[in-house]
Amino acid sequence: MTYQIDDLLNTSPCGFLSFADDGTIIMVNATLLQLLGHETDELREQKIESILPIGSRIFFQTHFFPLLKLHGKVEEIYFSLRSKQGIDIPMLINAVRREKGGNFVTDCILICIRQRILYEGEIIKAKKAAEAAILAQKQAEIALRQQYDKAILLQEITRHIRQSLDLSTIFEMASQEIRLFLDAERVGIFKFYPDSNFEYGEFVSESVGEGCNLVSRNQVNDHFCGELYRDFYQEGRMQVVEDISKIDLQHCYRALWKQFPVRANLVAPLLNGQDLWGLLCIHQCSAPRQWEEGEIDLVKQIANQLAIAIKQADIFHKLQKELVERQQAQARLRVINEQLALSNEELARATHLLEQVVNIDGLTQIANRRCFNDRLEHEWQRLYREQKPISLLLFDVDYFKRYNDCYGHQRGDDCLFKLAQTVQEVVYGSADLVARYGGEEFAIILPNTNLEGASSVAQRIHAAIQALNIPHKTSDVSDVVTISLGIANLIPILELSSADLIAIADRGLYRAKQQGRNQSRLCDYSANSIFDTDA
Amino acid sequence: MSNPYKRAQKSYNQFNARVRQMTQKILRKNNIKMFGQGTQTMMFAHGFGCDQNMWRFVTPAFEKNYKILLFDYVGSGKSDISAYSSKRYGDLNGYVQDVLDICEELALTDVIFVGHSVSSMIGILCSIKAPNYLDRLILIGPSPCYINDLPNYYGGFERKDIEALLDIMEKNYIGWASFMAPIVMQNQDHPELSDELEASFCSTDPVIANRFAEVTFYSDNRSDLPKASVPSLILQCADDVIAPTEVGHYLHRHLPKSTLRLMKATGHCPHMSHPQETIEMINKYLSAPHTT
Repeated sequence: MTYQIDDLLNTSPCGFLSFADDGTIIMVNATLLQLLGHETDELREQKIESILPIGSRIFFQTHFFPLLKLHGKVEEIYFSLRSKQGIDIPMLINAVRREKGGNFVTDCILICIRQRILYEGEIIKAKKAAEAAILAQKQAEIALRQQYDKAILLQEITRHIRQSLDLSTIFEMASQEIRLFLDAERVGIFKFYPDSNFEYGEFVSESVGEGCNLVSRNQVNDHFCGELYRDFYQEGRMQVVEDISKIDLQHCYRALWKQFPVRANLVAPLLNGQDLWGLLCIHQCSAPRQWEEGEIDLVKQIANQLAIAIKQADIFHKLQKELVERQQAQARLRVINEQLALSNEELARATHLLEQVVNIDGLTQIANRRCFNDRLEHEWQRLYREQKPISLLLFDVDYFKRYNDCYGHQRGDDCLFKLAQTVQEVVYGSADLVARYGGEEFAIILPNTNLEGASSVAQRIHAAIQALNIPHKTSDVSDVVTISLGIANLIPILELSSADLIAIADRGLYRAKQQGRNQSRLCDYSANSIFDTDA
Repeated sequence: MSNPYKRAQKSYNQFNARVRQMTQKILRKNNIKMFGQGTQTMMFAHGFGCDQNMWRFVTPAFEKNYKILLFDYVGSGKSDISAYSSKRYGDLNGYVQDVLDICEELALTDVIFVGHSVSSMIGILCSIKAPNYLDRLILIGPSPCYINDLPNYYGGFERKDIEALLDIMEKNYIGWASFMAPIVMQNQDHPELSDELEASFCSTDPVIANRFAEVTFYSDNRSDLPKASVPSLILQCADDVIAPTEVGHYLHRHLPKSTLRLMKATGHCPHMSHPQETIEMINKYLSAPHTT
């Protein structure tokens, strides 16, 4: 029976091997011996390590044996055995550990898997290549994502800058966004006091993470920045410090940063044109930090955007100042203009008054001689061009000297006033003009009026004066004040002047007086020439 | 909130809650187990390829006199795999920091640190970085450098040997599963698969296991040895293919306050293969007065 089993074991299509806990080989079947090129009993009492390549030895010690010891068996384990000829043969092994007379023995079956392990090698290679490709793709995606996020952040900040001219709003938003994006512990915007030679300044905006102090309330005196860093920052360079404690620092700086505290920082200058305006500071308070290239680049870009905002705000501020000044100047100008307008009005009133004074007869309040002359000349020229008729009435008060002597000058003046106003009322053509010609003489210009029209006006005047019924007891022709009136009428011609028209009317007046006063007489230019000297 | 007492109480409560939270986090992260009746802590740190279960053959001998602390490195056993970061654990320092974090969080002092294989070096580095936490080091199968640096140093391996190991590990961990490669890669979404792997190996993630192997076998901490000041016991097995006897002697020569004991036990895991001898040697060392 034992023989049969041994035979079966030796001829079975798999290797068989038993070994003790200390690695001593107890038994090997013929199949395995043959595979490894050993003679019968050649491996007995040998250590199992002697048929293991070094890699397999390590695996045996670190994996195979501990597993056997812990679980009592292992299944489907792969390692290689080394043949007598030094060739490594990949094997698949199942093993069971059992007790045999107080000692432990491990029985293994081993199957050669040369072909299979080759395939597996290929598969693992392909898998690794695929993993590498996936990793590369993932990294590319992450890089792209970061790029995208950065672009979005920049865009956001830029948008805010365009939307707002209020620096404090922009700063607040920018510090907050940068801090969250970079996962930094403090982001602050530091402004140098103008004219402090970069020795004094303050944090004008700040965003801090949990457990980080606000520093914005402190004014910062930095007597060394002026000397040390002004040129450095003015050139647009950044300060990148991963670990404050590991760099050579001015003593004052160390104290300054310890007070905040700062462990790592990233500082970018904020320039207003060529001038150093302030600093964009990103701090890590609790631990050092290795700033990545992308982060530094981003901070630089944001600093540039903030610089634009500062510049814009500066220009805006200047413009506003100018605008206010201009508005003030305009207001002053408006006041002056108003005053001037008032003066102009007064002037117009005065001018008007003056014109009145110039053209109005003070006593009778009708046009005076000067006004009459101007108007007559004007109408004469006009009607000459139009070749239309013009009439002129000239009258004086009958026995007015006597009236004055009888009733006194005051009554005389009153009488003239009344006459003038009355005549004014009955002469109503829009272009007609009643004027005091002098003394008790009055003249009426009637443009575009023929002889008939003129006569009818004369009739109306006589009637109106009659109707006034002003007593005149020293008159020879009536009990009341009357007038004598001369009428002239012609169409202006080149050979005559307005003076000739007056002369003709005067001749008519003269005739009216000669014929007994209180009447009108026409002097016809053709019938009785004005040049008739004896007339 | 104007009452200063209440304010202080609230702040204390918050602080306390935070501490509890932190502690819970670390306990979960390293799958920490504590038991035993002693006051002095014995911290057992497993080696590469294994987890805290490997200590179960020796811990019963110490739990009466010591407080036993077991843990799994991140990526091994039942640790919190989400805490793994290829940057932090890119060299032994990440693992060193984990041990120190545990000591700090649990306020441990005078710890007897028992480290197997790579954990021996982790223990030595801990003792250099923060000597106050540790009382003694028990180093089982330690090696400061696995790769030969001939003729000055014999570590036992060439780089190609380690590459062969990585290849074997790779094929064992993910070999057959390669047909379902994408699923294996995202084993957080398929815990049933990683459970399967975990059952056969003491590592949760094949990629992490491979990285740990590289970190372990490519590390060279020979220059750190003279800086150590905490007394240590070197347990050197016979016929250890991973840490040859030459390495044990080298370590003993360069590690201050070290004691070298050559074991009858063979192989690389005496605490599993020869727990009794291991226990006796540790007890003997611990009962002896401190030597310099």
